[in-house]
Amino acid sequence: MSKGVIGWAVALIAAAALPFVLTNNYYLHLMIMIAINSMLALGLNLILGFVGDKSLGHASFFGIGAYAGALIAFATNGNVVYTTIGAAVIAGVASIAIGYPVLKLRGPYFAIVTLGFCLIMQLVASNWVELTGGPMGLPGIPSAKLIAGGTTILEGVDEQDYWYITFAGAALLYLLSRSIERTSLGRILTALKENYNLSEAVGINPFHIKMAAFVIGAAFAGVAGSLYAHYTGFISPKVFDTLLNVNIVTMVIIGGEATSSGPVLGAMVVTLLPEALRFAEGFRLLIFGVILLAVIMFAPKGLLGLVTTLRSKIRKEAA
Amino acid sequence: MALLKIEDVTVAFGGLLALEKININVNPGTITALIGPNGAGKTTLLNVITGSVRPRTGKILFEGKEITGIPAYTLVGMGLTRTFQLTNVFPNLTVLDNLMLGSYVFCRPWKELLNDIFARRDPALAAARASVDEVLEFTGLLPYRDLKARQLPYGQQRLLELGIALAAKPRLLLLDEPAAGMNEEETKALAGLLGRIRANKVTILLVEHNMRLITNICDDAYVLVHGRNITAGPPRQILQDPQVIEAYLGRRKHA
Repeated sequence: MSKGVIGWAVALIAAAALPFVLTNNYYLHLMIMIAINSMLALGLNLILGFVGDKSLGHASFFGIGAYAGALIAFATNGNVVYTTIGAAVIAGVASIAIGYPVLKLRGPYFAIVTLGFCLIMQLVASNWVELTGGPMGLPGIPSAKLIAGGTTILEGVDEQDYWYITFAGAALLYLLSRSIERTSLGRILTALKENYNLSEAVGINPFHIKMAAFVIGAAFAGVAGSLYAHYTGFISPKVFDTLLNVNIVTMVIIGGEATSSGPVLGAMVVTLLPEALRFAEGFRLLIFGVILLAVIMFAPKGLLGLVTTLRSKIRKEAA
Repeated sequence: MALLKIEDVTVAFGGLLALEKININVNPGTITALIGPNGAGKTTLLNVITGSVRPRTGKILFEGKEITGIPAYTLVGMGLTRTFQLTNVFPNLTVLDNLMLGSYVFCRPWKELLNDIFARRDPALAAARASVDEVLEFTGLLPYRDLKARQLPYGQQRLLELGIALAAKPRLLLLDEPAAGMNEEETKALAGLLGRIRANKVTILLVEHNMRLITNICDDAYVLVHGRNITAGPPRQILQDPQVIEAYLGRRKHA
């Protein structure tokens, strides 16, 4: 317990001090993207990592969250409480609409339908011009503000502010994810992946549980999307990015499925590694791909699994 | 009154009659066996009881209430659990977690999540833990508590499977070939355990091929052959029945 408190104190101090160490805005931008990607990976992990249902369309809910957050921001002058909660709810409702018909089926349907849903959402965003601005997107999204009694208390202006905002969001979702992981809910989610028939036999309604994991995961993505909209101030149909779908899956698998720290670790690697490989110029993505392949081959439980294995090996040798 | 009543159940897969007008009464506090050669429809009947196979005609009554077609996950809460023919555990979870899942009906996962977030104790979890501790003690799995299910030897895995079913504190337990693949010693231990389960006022309906186990512990037996119930009664008596001997061993050729 006290060890955990110290860990959190260190993490909070490090997060608070980070903008003073990383004075370059570009680095700070990467840190913000890590926080946003962490929220996405933590959300996808609930359905992909714990339950084992392959969703290839998690970016749909990021995009829906971004548009919902932007539109609410225009209406409320950027009240961050309304935008994040509104985006989470709208992304969650969208996931019910897509999950309800598909999650009853077993097999590859879920992967195909979620991917298709993302492509459809991209088309909707491009063509519903009155609402989304079409391909031109929505410019001038108000910055995130904490408003109480009509006066703005805090406002997100520069990278430093947005680092604090996105870090707070990611930390809260991480804590929620960790609570899910260590209570009965985490065990129940894993049970479906481990043995579907026996899960039913012990009284678990698979459809309800899968639905819950999917909806909560979508709400996480909604929060990430709305904070992203505040941060960039401009969104376009490109938020429904097919590559982002793949990247979120990669974060979860590379970091370590069905854990809470794994997706965060994965978000760091998938965000930073391509940047660190910039020296390789044209070979950048090739090297990135080879590294990912190596991780999957040699650490099937992800980087977190690798760390755990190494740690127990060292402990055994020491004993 | 019978705890479980199967009334005129007929199941057809296409043109094939898998079960034909089956009537079975399972009396409270007894161990009832369902026997018969392979393909007689025994597992199908268990699947009808737990709602995964719909009968063409007939109905299932549990404690006087009709449960025909009600899915397994709802039945657990009503006091009826089952095990499967092939070993069925959560292989990568510990014995403790396996049993905690068995006690799922006592858990209130959403309340527990809220309690965890606000660092409060969860009362439902305590009830589930108590049930699990009882089962660990009862089945003798306590020493293996923190091992993963797949690390257990076969006999212990089957025991764990039984433990998972018991953790829900059922009033009726359906067991599909619990002794399959067990050696003689393990079978003996299983017989003792089933006897103690009955002593705890849990009624058992089991499908089994091991005749010694059946004659030793069962109060009633129903014989299914080709989807028909050819005879029923105390196990020792029906095993003398020429019809049953014929179904298992074939007819003696007269020279």
